[in-house]
Amino acid sequence: MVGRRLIYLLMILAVGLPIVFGVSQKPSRLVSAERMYDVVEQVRVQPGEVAMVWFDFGPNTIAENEPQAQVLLEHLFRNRIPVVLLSQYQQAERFLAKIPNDVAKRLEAEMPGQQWRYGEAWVNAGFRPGGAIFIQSMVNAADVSKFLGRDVNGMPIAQYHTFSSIGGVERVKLVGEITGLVGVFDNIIQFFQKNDYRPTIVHGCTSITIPEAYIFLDSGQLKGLLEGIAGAAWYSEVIKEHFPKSENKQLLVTNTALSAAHIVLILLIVLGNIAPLFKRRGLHHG
Amino acid sequence: MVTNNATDTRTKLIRIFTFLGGIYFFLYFVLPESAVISLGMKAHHEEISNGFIVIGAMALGLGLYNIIRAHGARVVFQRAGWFNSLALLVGLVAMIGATSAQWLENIRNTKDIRSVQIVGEFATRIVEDVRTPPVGRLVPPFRERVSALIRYGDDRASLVEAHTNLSVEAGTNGGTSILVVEVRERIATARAKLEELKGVSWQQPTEENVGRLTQFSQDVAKLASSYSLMKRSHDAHGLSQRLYDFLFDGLFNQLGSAMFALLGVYIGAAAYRAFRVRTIESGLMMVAAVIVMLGQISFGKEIYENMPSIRQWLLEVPNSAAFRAIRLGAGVAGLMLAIRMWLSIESKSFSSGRK
Amino acid sequence: MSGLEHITPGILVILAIAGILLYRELKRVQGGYHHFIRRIPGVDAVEGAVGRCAELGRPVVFTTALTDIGPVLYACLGVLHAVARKVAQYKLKLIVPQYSPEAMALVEDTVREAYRDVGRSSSFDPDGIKFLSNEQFAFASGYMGLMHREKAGAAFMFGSFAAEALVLAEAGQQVGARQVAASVSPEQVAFFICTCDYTLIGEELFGASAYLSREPVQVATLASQDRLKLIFVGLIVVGVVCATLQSWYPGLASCMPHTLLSADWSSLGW
Repeated sequence: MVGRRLIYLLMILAVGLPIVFGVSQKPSRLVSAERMYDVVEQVRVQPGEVAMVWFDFGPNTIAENEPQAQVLLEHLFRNRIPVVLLSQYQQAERFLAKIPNDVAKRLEAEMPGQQWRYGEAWVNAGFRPGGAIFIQSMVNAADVSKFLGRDVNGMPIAQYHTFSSIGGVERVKLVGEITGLVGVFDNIIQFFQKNDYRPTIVHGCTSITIPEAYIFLDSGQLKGLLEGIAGAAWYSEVIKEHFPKSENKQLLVTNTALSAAHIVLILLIVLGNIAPLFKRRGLHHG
Repeated sequence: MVTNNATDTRTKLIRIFTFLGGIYFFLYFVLPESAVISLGMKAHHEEISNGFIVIGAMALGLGLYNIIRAHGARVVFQRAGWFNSLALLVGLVAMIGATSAQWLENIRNTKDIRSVQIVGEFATRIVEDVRTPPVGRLVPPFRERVSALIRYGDDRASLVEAHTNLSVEAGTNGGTSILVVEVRERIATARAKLEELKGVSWQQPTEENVGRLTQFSQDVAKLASSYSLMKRSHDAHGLSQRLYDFLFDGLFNQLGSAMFALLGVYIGAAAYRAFRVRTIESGLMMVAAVIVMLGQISFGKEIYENMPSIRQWLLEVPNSAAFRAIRLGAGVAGLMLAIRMWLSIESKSFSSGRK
Repeated sequence: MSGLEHITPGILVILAIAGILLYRELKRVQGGYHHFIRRIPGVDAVEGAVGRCAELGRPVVFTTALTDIGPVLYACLGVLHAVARKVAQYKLKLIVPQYSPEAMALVEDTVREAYRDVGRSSSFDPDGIKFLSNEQFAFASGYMGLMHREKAGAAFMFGSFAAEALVLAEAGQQVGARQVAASVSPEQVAFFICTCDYTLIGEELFGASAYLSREPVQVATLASQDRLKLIFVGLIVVGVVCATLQSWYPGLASCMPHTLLSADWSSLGW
């Protein structure tokens, strides 16, 4: 019988070997990720209008959520859509600072002469406690930049020219929610709306919450969905089709490792069902 | 000693506050917009919401107190496993210390950056007051204000210069880096503008003078923007930031990710041990699970071209139906329990139903 | 008039019906009416699991995982009370690892009350209620260590779970504990089904509390929520029929029940 430790070893090898050897495969085509690309591509902003992206994830789910955050921000930055970043989860604070900086540096390296600066391309409003109560208050506010007050560095958001007069939430042209947590996405769906305003919401979720996210995709409340790393990988491929210099090898390697682990899981399921048959036959003959 | 009367009063007070807390949000949600505005709820909604958030945040203090009390007692009285409690308390103090130091550093920096921004805002305000004389507000004479602006502007330019040199000497920003070059250029521009302003007579606010002030305000705004980026870049190498990075990125992030990674190996063990096809239903479930897995991975379309489409259908149709049903049931149950909690219809005790 | 979206009059009617149903059922149950609650196999297994621990001389672990104070916690406390009673009767050790520091006082009171009910107040050990961490995976690692050190004979996992569910359940599997799990998070149910002996799905958690305690308020809540669900099922059927008819005859839109349900206050002249 296959021991537990051998199974653990198989899983580690399945995930580790593609990463160590840099094996990458073209990801599976995911329609929901393609839809999300089209939705983001169609966003057009007037001066003062912004996209709002929530990073509601922590260290536990960075493997899936960080690539999603990166590809979404990359797309928004490429299209020069100003982004307000914030979170309902205190452990996301680090990522709110790190990820946009990484994406900006990568784009500046790809396109020398162009710049993506804090305060112009994005602003970090940090962790905002209160969940649903906070979102309801923001929706109620006459001016989102004044409501948000200061950014994570303590500077008034209204001081940044691009974000100085956002106005009401109707001027938020896209809402992105990247999370692996249970419950925070529901706050956005339920409360980030007015009686004459329905935002365009896109969502990056972990694989565990994909089945639940499909309810909202099916009903039209969600316009696009990144399904775990696979979704982020396909999204990055679509970006690469339009921007060939875009770099996504590491993401494809991670996705390939995940695919290898899935294959091993399927084999283990088959083995687990077949093995008792052999055991029974062996006992019978014995 | 708590008497029965005191307990009854306390219970009544808790019920009243629970009801009042719930009724506000209930009414806000239920009443139409016109009623909400006419009752004055909309005007004060933000303040009331902030009040509730603050009350919720007080739980942080409560949790902290409980942790220190519980684990502190274990350490002090050297109960079983006291060294684990000591490790927890040391970690708690280290993280609070690192975060507090970083926060204080941030406040200091923001103060410096704001002080530079204010120079530009002051110039803008002088121009606005010239164009639209203030009503009901006394302001010093134009000449005095510009004189103060020049003095303060000089002082802030020196501050930015000093911080830039500090950053270059410390090696946190290279002397020839784009950021430092930009900051120095903008300091030079601001200083040149200040010299120009010093040489002007400010007896009367002429159009030319107002134009100079407007230009100065724009130059200072750009200087503040570059200074802000340079300062943050310098602080990223500071001791408090490095300590925070070590504790969060180096320890917390990695530990959390490692624990989450356990799920991968555990699901492997569960797949071998427990995913058995014993009935028709479990067989159907297994087929669905394999299709969804294959549809998501790179190799799936190699096995069958339409695997991703079948996966999509499974998730959109049967899965959505099942999830909606479960969520509906749990939602209704949650609604009833929430009504009970709001109206304080509590179980007397869990024993009261037993015969 | 633009503002936060408020509920429609139709939804207000449904909320009122929910309140009336709850009130009605409370009165009925307090008047002595006995509701039938169907058998829940996982709940019936509680007695067997605790008995097994008595035979093996191993402790019982009960966890509410990531459940904060709220409706779900109150449902879990009902089950905890029943489990604690059994544990007290068999004179076993009960360990209740905790995630939420605020909930600890409630949990302690519940367990103490259970011990008192069976006349074993002196056996109650407050050190059994252990606060591990309010960080998800720190809690999970603490739970794993606890299970391995204590070699629990039975593990009851009731409440709100997230990704750590499989970690907790696998820890119990590794030490050979009999496991019963109940989660309001549908995505974790699959993991529990694979690793636990019995799993309660969705609102069976709320039913379990009423089933075990037979406490009037809990039974009344269960009955009223079932009736409300029936109303929702009826509305779904009506909605499906109406939407289908409307797709065939678009002119019928304005007089359809589902249109009335979603009509806002302004259409009523407010």
